[in-house]
Amino acid sequence: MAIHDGDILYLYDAKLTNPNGDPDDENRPRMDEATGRNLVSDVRLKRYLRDYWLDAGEDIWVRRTEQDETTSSKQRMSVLLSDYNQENGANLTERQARQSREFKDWLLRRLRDVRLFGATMPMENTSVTFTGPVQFSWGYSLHRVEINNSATISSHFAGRENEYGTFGKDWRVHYSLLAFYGIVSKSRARHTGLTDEDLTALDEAMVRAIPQQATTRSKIGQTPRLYLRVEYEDDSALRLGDVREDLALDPKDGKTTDTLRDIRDFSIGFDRVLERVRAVEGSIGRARLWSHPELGNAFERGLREILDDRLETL
Amino acid sequence: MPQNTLIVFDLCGAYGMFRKFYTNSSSLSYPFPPRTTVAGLIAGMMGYERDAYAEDLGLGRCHIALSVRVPVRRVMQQVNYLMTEGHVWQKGAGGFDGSRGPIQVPVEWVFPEVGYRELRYRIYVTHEDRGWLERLGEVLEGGTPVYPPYLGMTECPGRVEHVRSTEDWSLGRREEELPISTVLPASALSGPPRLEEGTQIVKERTPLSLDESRRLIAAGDLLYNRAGPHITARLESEVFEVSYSGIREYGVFMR
Repeated sequence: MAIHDGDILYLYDAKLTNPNGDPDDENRPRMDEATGRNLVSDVRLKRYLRDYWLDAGEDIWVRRTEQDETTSSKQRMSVLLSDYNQENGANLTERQARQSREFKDWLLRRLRDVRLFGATMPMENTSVTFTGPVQFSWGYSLHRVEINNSATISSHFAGRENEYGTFGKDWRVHYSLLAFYGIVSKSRARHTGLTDEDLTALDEAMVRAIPQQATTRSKIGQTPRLYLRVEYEDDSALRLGDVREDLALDPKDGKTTDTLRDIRDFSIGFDRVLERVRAVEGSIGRARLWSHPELGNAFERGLREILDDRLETL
Repeated sequence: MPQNTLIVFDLCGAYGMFRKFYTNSSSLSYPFPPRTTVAGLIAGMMGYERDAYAEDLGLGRCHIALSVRVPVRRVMQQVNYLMTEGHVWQKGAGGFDGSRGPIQVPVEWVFPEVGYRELRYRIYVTHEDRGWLERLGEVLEGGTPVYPPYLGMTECPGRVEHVRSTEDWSLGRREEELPISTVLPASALSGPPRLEEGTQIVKERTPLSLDESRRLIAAGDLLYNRAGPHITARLESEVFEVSYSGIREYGVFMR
């Protein structure tokens, strides 16, 4: 199936956890200090997805080697090259591989994350950049976020060469509802060989990766809440775009947007998003939606009214 | 001389990152996209491939001006990069697999000032080739960009809004002091700009043009008023004047 241009809206929330630490600031959650909003990099989001595929037995380009395993001394490319040679009965040297179009195409066929998100790959004594057809913005919280006063933690393992442990701070947000905007570009998809199956795998990973991958101490407490991917007809110009600012948070039970602590403390108003969907409805070929049960089904009903059977739920 | 069309469009988005060409270990950002970034944006929307637009969008043929419509602020964030230079092929170089560990690089993002929904830059383009302008006009007026627009980096997806394509504009030397809405080449000034209350003029050295191998072939100092919509000054170089939607604006092409 042909790839179409598309837009993505993705929400997840983080409760008493650290969605994305700033390595230069005691690993404090990334913040836009002027607005009090919590930030999460696109790299953090893609890491969940890549780890999810890696766990599912897929090979991916951007991966860490396990420490102290023999793989750590091997280079990513040479591992891939020997696989290529074995699979294809070839005997390419690294130098030859750099000039081989077939090897490059094989790499793209093998590595889903490159077909989706792109990569800078060393080829022909230099590097070749594949710009990913799927791009995510940095995510930000839709409200001001408070950071919990940190307790000092100590780790005896981290400092095991010394007599004492090392000390650190354990920063967490009280609550953060994070929103990402993403795009899919059919023109860029041509360059990486992106398939419809890759997009289906993306849909699945967006919904499943965080619950499965966010299992380290600092990441527990994150839940996907909404995923919407819209595909546009090729000859239509209208676009939904970045609708994050059209989401309205409506706090309940005496809460304000500054004191949210849980998904049950507010409801999300989708009226303005639905208005925008209605305005570009003629351009939309298909939309795929997943929403968390706790969000209710008002958004799905609204979308269904506009898109009818063009709406697929995950 | 009959003027070719002047195309006016806006580039909008949640945030941007326009990397300074002279930084190395840190990634500082200009407050606005430099001319080379705008040229790349236009080329991408029109479907040029990566190394194929240097001449068509070069200084000689294409004239680009830019106005900062929403005040900006900057936010620093530290990010982890992996080594991606060619030599990671060699054994033990330890780039992609992360075995050498990441490199932490401060990145400066451009955000809209508090209270604004998104960044907005107004771009004015004209070209010596009418056919080229028509093609750009078609993309903006109802076509779709071949490659999606973004604000400096692919992580900053944005959108463009066509404002006006007009032949009702003029370019020429002007004697009088004028409020210039666009960022202003320092070389265009014939004297110091007027410093009205609150004016904060910032000078940014930006790239202006790249050759087909993406090597820098021209750079220049651009002035921009961080606090307001324009810089009032008397100019040595040519100024364009354009009226649309009930507003009259003066601008100078980046060169």
